[in-house]
Amino acid sequence: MEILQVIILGLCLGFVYALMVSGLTLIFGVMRIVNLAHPILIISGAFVSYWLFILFGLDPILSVPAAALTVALLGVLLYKLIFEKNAAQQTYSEMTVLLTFGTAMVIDGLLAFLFHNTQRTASPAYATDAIFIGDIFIPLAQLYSGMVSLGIIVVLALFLKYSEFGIAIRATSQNRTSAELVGVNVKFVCLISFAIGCALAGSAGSLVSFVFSFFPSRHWEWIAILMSLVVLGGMGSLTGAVIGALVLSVVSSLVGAFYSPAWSTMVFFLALFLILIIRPRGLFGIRTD
Amino acid sequence: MTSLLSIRNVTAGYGYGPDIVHDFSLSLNESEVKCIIGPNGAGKSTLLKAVAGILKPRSGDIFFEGKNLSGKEAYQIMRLGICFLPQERAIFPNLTVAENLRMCAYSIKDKALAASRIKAAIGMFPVLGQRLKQIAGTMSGGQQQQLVYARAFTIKPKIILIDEPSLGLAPSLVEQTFSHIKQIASSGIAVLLVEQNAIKGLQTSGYGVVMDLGKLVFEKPANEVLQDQSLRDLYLGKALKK
Repeated sequence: MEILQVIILGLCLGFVYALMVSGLTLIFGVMRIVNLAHPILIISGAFVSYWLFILFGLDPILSVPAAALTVALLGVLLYKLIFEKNAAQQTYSEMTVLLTFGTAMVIDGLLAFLFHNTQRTASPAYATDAIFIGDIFIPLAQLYSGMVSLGIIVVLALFLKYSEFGIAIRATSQNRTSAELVGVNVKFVCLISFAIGCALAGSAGSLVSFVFSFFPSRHWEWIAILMSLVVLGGMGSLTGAVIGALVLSVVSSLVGAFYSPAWSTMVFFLALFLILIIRPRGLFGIRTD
Repeated sequence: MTSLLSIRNVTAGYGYGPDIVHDFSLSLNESEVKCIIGPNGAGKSTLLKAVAGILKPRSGDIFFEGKNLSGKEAYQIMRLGICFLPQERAIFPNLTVAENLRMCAYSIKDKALAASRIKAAIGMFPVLGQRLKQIAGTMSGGQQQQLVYARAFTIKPKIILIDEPSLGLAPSLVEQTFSHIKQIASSGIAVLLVEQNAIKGLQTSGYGVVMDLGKLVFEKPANEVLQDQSLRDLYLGKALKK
């Protein structure tokens, strides 16, 4: 029974990781931007929900839209300021690594200046509660945050799969020129995709705010974890990123429970090294040429 | 009467590189089919890219229905009625056939019209209708070609620019492709074709345009180019001497 318990907890966290990584993978897929600022945007979203909870007692789950919108607007601003003009450069993808790294440092510094690097967690009433199904107990915070994450991912997937704009986003991520040639305003699609990616970061932040303790500099750790998920799934593949997140989260929980919690984070990095050696394009990677 | 498309003194090239197309002028009337031929590196594809707006001309102007296209983005030019089928990747290989067809009709604002156009295109290429859920890139070469040319019948542009339609195709597919192009031409769409397979290209066209080193050498009715032995030796090369 214990193993089932660990797997369920791992899955709940896995959905949260999947949501965290979905925006990153969308932005990379469409624009080839390696957004190292994604985790700090997640933390920004967490701060929005945290303060809404502290100041107005608003449940972090209810503040998901507010966090998503705030971070999306921040994203649009960033995109207009630093990405759009450089999109035609040949070394664009490489350049975005530096640009986003710098951006991450600036936002990190700003948040630390405003709120200090102290650990925080939003603590709605259910945060300390749990339900029991037979012998298995599930903390409500993790259950809720996992389920809402799953819901958002499903909505995103349906949007990308069936809506006209969603198909245009996928077409653009396959080939910008081809998309332009069927009449897609590629610049606009990029802007909206970036905003959606940031909104996903913001909503993930909101859902993380009562599950993990967070502080501005924590994003450095998440960069590494999220990048390993993106690489495992195959750069730019949403399905791959979600499956990667679920698998690694469960494995990491199992290692933490049965071996030592000290090793559970290590799982992500070992997986990253292994996948790069065995299958560099990831589980669901599309060849980009 | 002004012509449908008028390319005036266009010079174009890539990045910081040299000019590929020099001071080139050409016009195309409604329902006309012209084929641009010339050796490799003559600037034929570059010219089509400049017309489609993928490449900004360094100087000169391109007019379509009297409107100057300079400064317009490729998607805006496409929406005006100029459809460009590039050498490769004219379809989205990782999307399904149905999604590809929806993307073909993306520029049509009226969704009922878009749906009926897609239906009509499927009527012309029934094999696409049987494979709507298949990932386009996994279809055979011939089926992919049908998907490419279904676009012309979905959006019904005024002009279609086709870059090297026969490049890399098996001989049987070349026949099929040119029959699609003839179909498009006979539906009243003007065609500007760039083709290495000069005979096939000229047989399909009303006019032959010879281009070399980025410049217009001459423009003549296609059958004259085909019949003139000295022109054949000069510009059509080995392909004709078998």
